[in-house]
Amino acid sequence: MHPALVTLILLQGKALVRRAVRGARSGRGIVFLLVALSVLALWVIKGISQAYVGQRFSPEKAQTAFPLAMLAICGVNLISSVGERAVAFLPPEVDFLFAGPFSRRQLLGYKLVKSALGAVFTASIFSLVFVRYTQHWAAGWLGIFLALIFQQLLSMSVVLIGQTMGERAYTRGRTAVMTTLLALAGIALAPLVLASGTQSLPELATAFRGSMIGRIVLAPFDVFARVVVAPAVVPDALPWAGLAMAVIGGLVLIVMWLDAHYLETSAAAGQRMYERVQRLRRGLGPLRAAPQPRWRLPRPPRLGGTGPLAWRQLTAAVRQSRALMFRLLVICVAFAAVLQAGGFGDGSGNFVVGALFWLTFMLSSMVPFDFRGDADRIDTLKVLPVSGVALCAAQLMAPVAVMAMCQLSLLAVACLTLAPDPRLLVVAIVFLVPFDVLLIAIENLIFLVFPVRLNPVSPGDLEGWGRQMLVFVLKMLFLLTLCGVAVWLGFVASGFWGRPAPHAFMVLTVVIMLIEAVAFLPLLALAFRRFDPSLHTPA
Amino acid sequence: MIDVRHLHKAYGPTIAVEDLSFPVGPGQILGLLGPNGAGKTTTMRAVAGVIPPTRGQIIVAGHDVVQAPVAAKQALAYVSDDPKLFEALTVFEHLQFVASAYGVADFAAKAERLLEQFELTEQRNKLAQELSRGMRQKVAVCCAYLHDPRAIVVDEPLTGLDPRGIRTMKQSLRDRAAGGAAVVISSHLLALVEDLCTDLLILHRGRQLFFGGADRAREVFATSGADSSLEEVFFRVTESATEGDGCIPPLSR
Repeated sequence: MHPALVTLILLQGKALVRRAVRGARSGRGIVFLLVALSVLALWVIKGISQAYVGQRFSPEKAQTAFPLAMLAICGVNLISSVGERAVAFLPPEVDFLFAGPFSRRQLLGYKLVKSALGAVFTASIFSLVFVRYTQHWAAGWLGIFLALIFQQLLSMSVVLIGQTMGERAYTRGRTAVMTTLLALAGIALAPLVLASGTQSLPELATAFRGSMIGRIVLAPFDVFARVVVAPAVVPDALPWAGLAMAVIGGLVLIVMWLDAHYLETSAAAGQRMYERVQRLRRGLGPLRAAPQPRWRLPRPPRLGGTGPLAWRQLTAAVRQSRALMFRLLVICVAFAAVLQAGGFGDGSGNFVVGALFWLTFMLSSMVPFDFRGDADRIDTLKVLPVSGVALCAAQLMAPVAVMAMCQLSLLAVACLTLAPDPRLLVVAIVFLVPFDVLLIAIENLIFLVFPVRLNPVSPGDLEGWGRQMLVFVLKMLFLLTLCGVAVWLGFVASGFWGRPAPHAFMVLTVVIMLIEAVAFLPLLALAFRRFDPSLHTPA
Repeated sequence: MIDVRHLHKAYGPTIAVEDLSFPVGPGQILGLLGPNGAGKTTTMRAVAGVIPPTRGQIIVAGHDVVQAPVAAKQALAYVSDDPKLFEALTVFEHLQFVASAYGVADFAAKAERLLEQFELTEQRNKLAQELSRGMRQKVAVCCAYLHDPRAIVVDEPLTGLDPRGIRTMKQSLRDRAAGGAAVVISSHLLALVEDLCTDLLILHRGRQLFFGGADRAREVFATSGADSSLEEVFFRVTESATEGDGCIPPLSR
């Protein structure tokens, strides 16, 4: 590799350390760092204690699950085009490296080395957290490290094959390859699913692994699984690690061989990634609007300024719906698969409600059509002739509407896949909107009081990670307190009937939650009024 | 020093640049003019080797940018219209990296001189993310000048600069040209182009409308026989091309 590229990697490593040290100079930075380190330590300690005090996971089961997990991750990478990132160069890299005296292969080598270094950090954490699934820590580390490199290279190879075939052929080729793979997987899985009856997910996985197609598809992944579950590095893991390295070497050769014309597409992919990061910085989430606006929402009445403001956010949500729909589809399919094969029995209703709760939290960060998305536009909002309360009410409408739609889709999937207790479904539907209003109101209040961008946290950014964890805990505390108060008040109030009155309890609780949400509006308006864009706009 | 021959760049069915040819010799400063979407940035990125041409040849310092990219880029410096820096690196670390990339011996003294010239000495240990737009532009220019390039390609060189920065930037481009470098700049600031450039290349929808000396442009496109400003020339050339869709035949020296 060119010495300048080595210098650049070293400088970037130094910068990572410097950022951590600089961040820890302030009291807030120390708190964030300590939180992150504590959570990381807890995970690692839990993993180690499960392995050495409790019982280790059966190596046979681990060997079954690991290749399937790798296959699933590869599939998701390819379907969602995340693989493009594998060869994406960031805009500074394009400016400095593409115009610099480096050959294409040197630049690819630079990307590979950077990926490998990132994999060292990730493998170190994963190997400790999941140590109970391995027989020997070092073998586990080696297996995970090699598997991470393999995943990167596989994505790179697919992307480069696509680029060599041309952008048009790439899209078609990728579609054809993916359709064929899905068809093969379907053919392989269909008899298993049909014959499975009430088989659980692990049983289904074992059956797929035992089938001929399963063995062929999983063969390259199986090599890495054998390294992970090897009892020791020497002699057990070594032959498989050698084979894994041969597979990786083959992929490196493919990548080097197919590197023609990658610069331009890499620059374009890098630019897309940069735009995605910028959108995240602006709080717009990873979603991008369709190039041509196809949907136009009717103009609502003014309603004291609430109408046009809500219309603006809803229009943004609708125009970004293609990407959101795709993500929702993936979540729904995964949700259906888990419900189908999960073997939950009578506990299915509880599982559905629990899963819905966690998916709601996940979705809330994907729909920042509110103050979080307007971090750089607070000035514009402040000069509008609209009262604070009306403005805040308008800001909450779009994310609540989008989230409710997503949740109803998940509930529909649950109803089609299995028949959970209908009473639980009714409860879920009734509580959806008030819960969402509370959640989004809390998200926005926290943002206005402690403005932080929804930046993706890069590996090694412990401070950023700690900050996200703290915000999450704060959000949970708020939400559970408000919901708890509503449930308690609903319970007490329904006691006036003198006999169990579940309907009255539900109605009262929903009403109290809505009152809480309405009471939140002046609080939000106050936080919005106190927000000084010159001081509080997050960097 | 820079020789572009029949450059053609297409993105699928969209033609960004069509059959563009121009040379830039040592000491010349070529101004690339054209309305938005004319193909200026595409041309500059192709010359810098950031994007490959669909057809045609680009020679920098005697080396083909496609066939011998490393040798060509060794002689070239490129500053994009919105320079992206490595956010977590300091100003001096950027220079350190560039020195290593181009094999600049004893770079520290040269780097300090450049930092002083562009009033960045106090910022030398600041992270790129802490810099203003203008300062980032200056850092990118310092990096570009560090290896004494023989060909300099700068897209919108004055964006974000304060008056003193503008003066320093203009003077530095003149100095580099006087030192034998071939300079290509792109700008919408016609006064800058008029003040700085020895030659003009006017593009419209990817096609070359005029290439030649600034004086010749005024001569060719003068409306009243009196001295025409570059602004007048620019609007006459591009508006005629828009109205007649190319009624003015491509001109070259």
